Amino acid sequence: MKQRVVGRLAVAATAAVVASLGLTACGGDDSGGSAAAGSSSEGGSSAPSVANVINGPLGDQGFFDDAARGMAEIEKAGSKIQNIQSDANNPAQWKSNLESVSNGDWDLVITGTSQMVDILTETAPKYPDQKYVIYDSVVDAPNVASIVYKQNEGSYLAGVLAAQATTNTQAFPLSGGSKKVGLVGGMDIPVINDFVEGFKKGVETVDPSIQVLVSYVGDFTDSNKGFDQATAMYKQGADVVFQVAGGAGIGVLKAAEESNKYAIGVDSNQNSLHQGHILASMLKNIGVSLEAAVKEFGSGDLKFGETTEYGLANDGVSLTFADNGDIVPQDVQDQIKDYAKKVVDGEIKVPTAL
Amino acid sequence: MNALEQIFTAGTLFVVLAKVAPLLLAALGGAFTQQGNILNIGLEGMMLVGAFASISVGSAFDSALVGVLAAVLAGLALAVVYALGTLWLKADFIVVGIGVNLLAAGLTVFLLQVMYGNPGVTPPTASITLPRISLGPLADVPVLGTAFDDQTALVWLALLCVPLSSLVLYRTRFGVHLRAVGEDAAAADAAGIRVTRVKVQSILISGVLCGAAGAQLAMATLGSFTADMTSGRGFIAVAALTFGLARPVRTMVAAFVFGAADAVADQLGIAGFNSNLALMTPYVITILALVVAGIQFRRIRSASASVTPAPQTA
Repeated sequence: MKQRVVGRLAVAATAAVVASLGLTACGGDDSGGSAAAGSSSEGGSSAPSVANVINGPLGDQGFFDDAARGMAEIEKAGSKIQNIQSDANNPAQWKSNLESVSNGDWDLVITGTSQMVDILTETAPKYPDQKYVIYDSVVDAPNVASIVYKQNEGSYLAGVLAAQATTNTQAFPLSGGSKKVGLVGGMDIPVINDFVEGFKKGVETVDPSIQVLVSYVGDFTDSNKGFDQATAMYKQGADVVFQVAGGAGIGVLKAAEESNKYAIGVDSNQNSLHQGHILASMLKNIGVSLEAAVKEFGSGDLKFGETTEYGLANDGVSLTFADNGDIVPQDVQDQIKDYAKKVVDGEIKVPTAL
Repeated sequence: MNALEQIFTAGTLFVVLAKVAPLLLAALGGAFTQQGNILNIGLEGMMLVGAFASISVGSAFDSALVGVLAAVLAGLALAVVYALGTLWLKADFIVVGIGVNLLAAGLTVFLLQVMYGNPGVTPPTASITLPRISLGPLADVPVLGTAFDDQTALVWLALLCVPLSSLVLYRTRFGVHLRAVGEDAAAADAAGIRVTRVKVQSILISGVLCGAAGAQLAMATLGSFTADMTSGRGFIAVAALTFGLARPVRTMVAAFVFGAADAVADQLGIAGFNSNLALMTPYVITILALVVAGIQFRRIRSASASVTPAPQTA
């Protein structure tokens, strides 16, 4: 329904735009086909062929790139694979791309994000013999296996780190010991609040008297507003701000440098963006989960119609310190590892907003 | 109480000024076209290409000045597209405005991908910021010193553009012609004013000012471009100039109302107010301001109508 409205708007806007969109859509499919032939390794008989339908272009240094990294690993394991990119704002194209690989040529079709839920919900029953995997969202259908990530667990570790930084001024020289930390979120929505819940719990575990400031940019693009909100937090004494705001978060990281304080990145390794100010980055390891899913599919263990959770226990989420200029001492990193282990063992329950 | 104290400090005034500058530049640009009876929705897109050009070209030449010039040229280029679409091809002003915005959003992301291999943000290697102007001993002046010390040249330029725009609109031949065209294009044409040329000039001015606005947005503090970073500021600028009835000083007042509301909203959110209410604040104020402006505008119109009843042509 939604795609149809969008489509009609596009038609109404300009025929030329629609024509060019159509062309790119077809072009994408064509090149897709030829690339598939080129990259197909036709490995062992057991390795399943896998198509990854992406509802946007690669190069986001986050979500989709990580999925593609997983696909590359899957290819190395002997599978024939294909990544199908598309326009980021063209649901009609996503749908046609998904349908074009649903006719049985591929053993498994992967797609992801909440934006694909409606499309897959519509498409999956039409091709009951086609098997699908959707990541970072859930689609309830007998031929779809859903993968979700426990961002609250990764965020918990970020909270532990932030709390350490605001209390331990010895190890973190830019910290003022104010016992204040902050989180700048993109929007006040469940998936972001799942980060908030985990972060607050992590801070509380270390020291319940630490104050957590939370604000929302209102979108994921306004980097100036991200900068302003983070700067306001630093002015109020916050030593560390965790950004969960996509592109707007770029402003948060910059604010850490301007205010000479600390920040924590998200989605991709942002540790080297402002050297000396970004303690760590919290990652959702999409690729790892896709590799695991394909492996399970190959051995017949992947359960369709069910949802698998990827958290700290199975490397679905993690906190990386790589390339941060060694500003987090090893003993603090070890402590965080201990906390991670407690979460994995079920000793610590991280609350969720989902 | 504590929250209120944190909101109303001289430091907040500094933030408001920095927030207002791009809004004011864009709104003044829109005021020029509005005076010529063109509601320029394309301010957003012109700002966005300006922001991108300032970072990409400025960092390539390692010069903030070159960055600002590139931003102005980029804004100007998009203004040319807008003028061609509306005045030459006679398409609807709103539709072309939307088209210009979509073009800017797509083009900047495309160029990000081609130039830096990343459609989201410019890399740290391509970073450039505007120099800040220190007031020296004047910085110790209470309140105003803190607010104006260390602002960028574009903040000063934005403020300077207010009297400058008034001067151009009300004291020059071009300004008189533009306003005559805006009042009644047919009458202006009959009086020998070259209507299209005057309109094109007003659109080009809006492109230049929006380009500068984009430069301030990207280069003032961030020093980087992120996709769609204007995030609706162009539309807030349209609201500001509408509230200001396209008069420079009133438009500036409106821009300050929105800038201040935005700064207050940030503080309210952090102070723990409901985030949705906090984020709504600038827009609620926008709507209220538009209603007030609408009532005033009607009063002015009815007043002028009662003084000089519109003569009917025979």
